Amino acid sequence: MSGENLIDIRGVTKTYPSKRGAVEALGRVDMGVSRGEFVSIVGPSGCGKSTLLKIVAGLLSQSTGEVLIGGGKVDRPQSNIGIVFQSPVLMEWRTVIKNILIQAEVRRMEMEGAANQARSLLRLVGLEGFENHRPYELSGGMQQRVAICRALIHDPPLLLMDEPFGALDNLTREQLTLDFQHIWMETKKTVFFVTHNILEAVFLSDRVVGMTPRPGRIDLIETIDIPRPRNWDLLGSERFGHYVEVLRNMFRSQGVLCDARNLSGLGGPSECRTTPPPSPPPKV
Amino acid sequence: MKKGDAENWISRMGNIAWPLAFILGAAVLWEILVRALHIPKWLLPALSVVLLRIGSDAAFLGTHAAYTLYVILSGFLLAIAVGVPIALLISSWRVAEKALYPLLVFSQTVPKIAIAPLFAIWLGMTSLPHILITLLISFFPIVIDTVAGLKSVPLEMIQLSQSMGTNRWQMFRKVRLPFALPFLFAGLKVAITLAVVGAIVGEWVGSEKGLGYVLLLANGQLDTALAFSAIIVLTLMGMGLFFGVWILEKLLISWHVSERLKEIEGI
Repeated sequence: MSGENLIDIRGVTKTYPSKRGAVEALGRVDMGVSRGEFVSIVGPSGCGKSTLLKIVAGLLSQSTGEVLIGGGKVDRPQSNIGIVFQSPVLMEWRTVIKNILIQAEVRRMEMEGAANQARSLLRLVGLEGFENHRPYELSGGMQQRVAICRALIHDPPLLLMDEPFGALDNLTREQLTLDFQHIWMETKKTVFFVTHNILEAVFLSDRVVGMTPRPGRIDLIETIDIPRPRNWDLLGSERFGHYVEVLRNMFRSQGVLCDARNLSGLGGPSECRTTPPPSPPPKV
Repeated sequence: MKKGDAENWISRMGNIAWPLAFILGAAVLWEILVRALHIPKWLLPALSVVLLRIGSDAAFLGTHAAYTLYVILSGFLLAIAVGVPIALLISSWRVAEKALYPLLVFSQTVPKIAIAPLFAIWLGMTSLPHILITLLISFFPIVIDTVAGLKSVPLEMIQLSQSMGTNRWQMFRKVRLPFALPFLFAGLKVAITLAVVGAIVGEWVGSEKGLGYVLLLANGQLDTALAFSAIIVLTLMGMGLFFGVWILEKLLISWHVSERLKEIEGI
């Protein structure tokens, strides 16, 4: 099993030092992502899912445990990956195509071929003709599409995405999710996708990993057995509804989501916690 | 479209016309008051007298202006050459920040006019003390603003660049420096006006050349017309230099939000 995994996360924890003592951001996380798999990490705000992504990227160091990518230990910023953050992080002094090509410049790729590749990626995300625009001339959704192109230009086997559609309005978000499914089916990357949006996670993923509130641990893993390409009319379907309900139930049991019936007559949201926060597992 | 162009042109003309009208008005007022009140020439010469003096002493003023320009530009360019690396050091190395910042503040708070004579003693009657004073006066805003720029690169931009495998040089050249450029230019605009002051202060302490020297000469001889001539030439030079930096800024960071805002407002 672990031989086929592109990512192996083994016993990873993260504790931040702070003025008021150590803050445990991440409990113990063990999981694997196999090659070509689309895995979403879903959890409430502050559960450490972004921290986990940055540890996988080698941008943060874990407190204990280890992460392997393709069998190699992650102990420095990884460069064989593509990253997309919540904000597009485009360089406003570069044009659209040059924002994508910075990858090629830094990696000393052959520029002619890279430029062609960048143009075909722009076509793939529907931004043909915007090569020489400046980032500020694009809408938020378009900027995020450019960021996705930038993450793909060097053809990395692994995409790490940290709430990539989180800053977009709902309509744009829906469209981009759909488009991204298309991109994923075209490119067959392994995707590690962090989000707090259940619908988005179920829609896109092969597997959804649910996390507990801080310190984040894996609460459940749900395999999404819906054939692709998936469409948003799935929203009304029973199967889609089932997966969404499973995840919503997880949030309910964590006390993150409250139903109206739980709230009425009680003292407010704080009372809707139906189960105590899970206690840390015994140290091995 | 045509109408918009015309409006644009009018508003542009307005930008030039208003300050021009104001200056012209002040000049006319100056001329009339001096003549009407019979103010003696050594106290305040009429503007026409000053302008005629600039004309008749053009060659003399020109040579000295050239020297001052040389001092200003040398000091200013050196200030960039010294200021930017110091800013880079401070922004990327905490030890350097702790060690250098107090020194910088010290160098800025010690009155330059007080140490200028020492420079003249140590370095003699060359252009070196003048250039050094100019450097010392003008490098501070360059350092402070560049540090601010280099430090405000968003964390995610740094992390993204790391994930591309950038080395230190690439990170500086392709990410941090371009990001800091608008900040750097804010510093340069302050620095170029300070450089003019620096050159004059340097020349006052000991020089046989430059507009600062001409000013001292004119004051000593109560040649107020010559003093005004030097001041006018110096002011025009300073404005020209500022304009040069401004043009360079426009060319280099047209992408920046401050430039775009101007576009929108039609300035």
